[in-house]
Amino acid sequence: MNWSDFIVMGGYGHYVWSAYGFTTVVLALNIVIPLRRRHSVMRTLRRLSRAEAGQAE
Amino acid sequence: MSAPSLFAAARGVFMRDVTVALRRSTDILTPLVFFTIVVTLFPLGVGPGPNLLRTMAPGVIWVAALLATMLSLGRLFSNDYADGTLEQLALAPHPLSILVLSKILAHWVLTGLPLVIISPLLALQLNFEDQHMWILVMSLLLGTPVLSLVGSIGAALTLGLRGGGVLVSLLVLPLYTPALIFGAGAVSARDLTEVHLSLLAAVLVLATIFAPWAAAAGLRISLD
Amino acid sequence: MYKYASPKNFYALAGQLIPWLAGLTVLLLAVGLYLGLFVAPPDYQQGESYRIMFIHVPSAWMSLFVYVVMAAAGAAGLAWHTKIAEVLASACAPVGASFTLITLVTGSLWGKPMWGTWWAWDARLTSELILLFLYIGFMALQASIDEPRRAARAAAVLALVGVVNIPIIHFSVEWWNTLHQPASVSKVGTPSIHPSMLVPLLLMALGFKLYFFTVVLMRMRYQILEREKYSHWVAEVLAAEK
Repeated sequence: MNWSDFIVMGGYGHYVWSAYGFTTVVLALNIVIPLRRRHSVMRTLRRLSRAEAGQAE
Repeated sequence: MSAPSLFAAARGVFMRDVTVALRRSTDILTPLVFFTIVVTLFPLGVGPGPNLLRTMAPGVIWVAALLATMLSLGRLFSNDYADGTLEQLALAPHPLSILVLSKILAHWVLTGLPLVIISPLLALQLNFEDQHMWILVMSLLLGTPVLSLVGSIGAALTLGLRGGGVLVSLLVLPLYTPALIFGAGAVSARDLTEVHLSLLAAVLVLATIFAPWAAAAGLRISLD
Repeated sequence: MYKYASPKNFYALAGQLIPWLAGLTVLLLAVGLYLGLFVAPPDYQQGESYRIMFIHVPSAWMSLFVYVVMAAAGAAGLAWHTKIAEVLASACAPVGASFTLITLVTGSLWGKPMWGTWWAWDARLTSELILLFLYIGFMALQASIDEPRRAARAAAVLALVGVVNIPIIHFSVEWWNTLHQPASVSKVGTPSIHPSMLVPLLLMALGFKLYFFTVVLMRMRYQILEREKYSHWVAEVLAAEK
């Protein structure tokens, strides 16, 4: 497998790799963002339940 | 006392809307003036070359009509929502979709029809040829009701929301695409005019059947 | 089957499914990419640039598929008032919009070497652009209504109106395109499909589908936690996942 040929993609390398790169970024964001939202939701809910437990005392 | 018939109720809604709007004539004039200004801006933007303007005329007039209609969608339901009339309509023993259709018809008579009437004047400004004027008028006559019908769905869903006008535009503009394509196309594609107008008429029929129903559903959701 | 309509059970089920779906996704995408990038030969007409097809075409398919799922979920939410259906619809939107965006960008990158311009009013790209606006409208409508129930139901109506309109919009754009496009500009068409190209294409399509399921379930889980925050089982989940 000739790596430099692979990267150049017959002259279309810029286009092909930009396309694949953009796609990877978007698909990765769609994984990262829900994970972070989940984190912040859990954090908010924990804080809420602690506040309620504090009030109950 | 027996409830009025469906036709009487629908006519009552229509007449009320028209009467109220005629008393508040700025509601009617504003879209017209907007329409005129937008069409006037285009030559200022692209230069007065007569051939260019003549080519652009159908698209420009159609887009301006689209924007003017969209601006006026806000007042379709919002005044009645504010004073409680809308809830009364929803509670009435008549199908809400028919009453909504009456309101849409009133809206079109007050907004769309005036646009159709002054469109020849604006077309002349853009060097449009006289003998094809009837196609432009016909396309707008068939198309502006579609704009009111489809637009009512957006107005119903966004009732009472902040960010009102822009939000309605965002929701409704993609849905306007077929009307724009067939309407402006009828004028610019000379040998295919009848086909375009037929397609536009088909869109009008579909919209008349389904849009009031969807708008009524949207109203019920917004009113709950 | 119906016990999964309850948020609590669905949350647990989704949690179990996600790792398997993610694993399958990675597997399918890896094999698809390997076959598409390394094994498939260059195209007779388009050379190597056609390899963008392996992400462009599956993304286009997904952008439509997700919209249909979104509209169907919206319809289910309207008909049966189930929260799960509402959460599903809301979770679909950003993913569908992402696929639409990918379709547009990769289509543009595929088209540039073919047509010489970054954007051409090709029928498929124009339809995708309008689809993107439909997705954005859906998300904007949901975002501007504070009450989650009303937001979900209004957006559901919008999605249903949209799904009915999509064939009409697509037809009108195709029509418009054939009228106005000079013959010299060719569409971003799939090259004649040889099995060595078809197999990676289908694998990528399947991989994208599984990716969609994985990501949607992830989104649904945190949305369920948020909507059900006052219920007892959420408190238990929080305690368990310290």
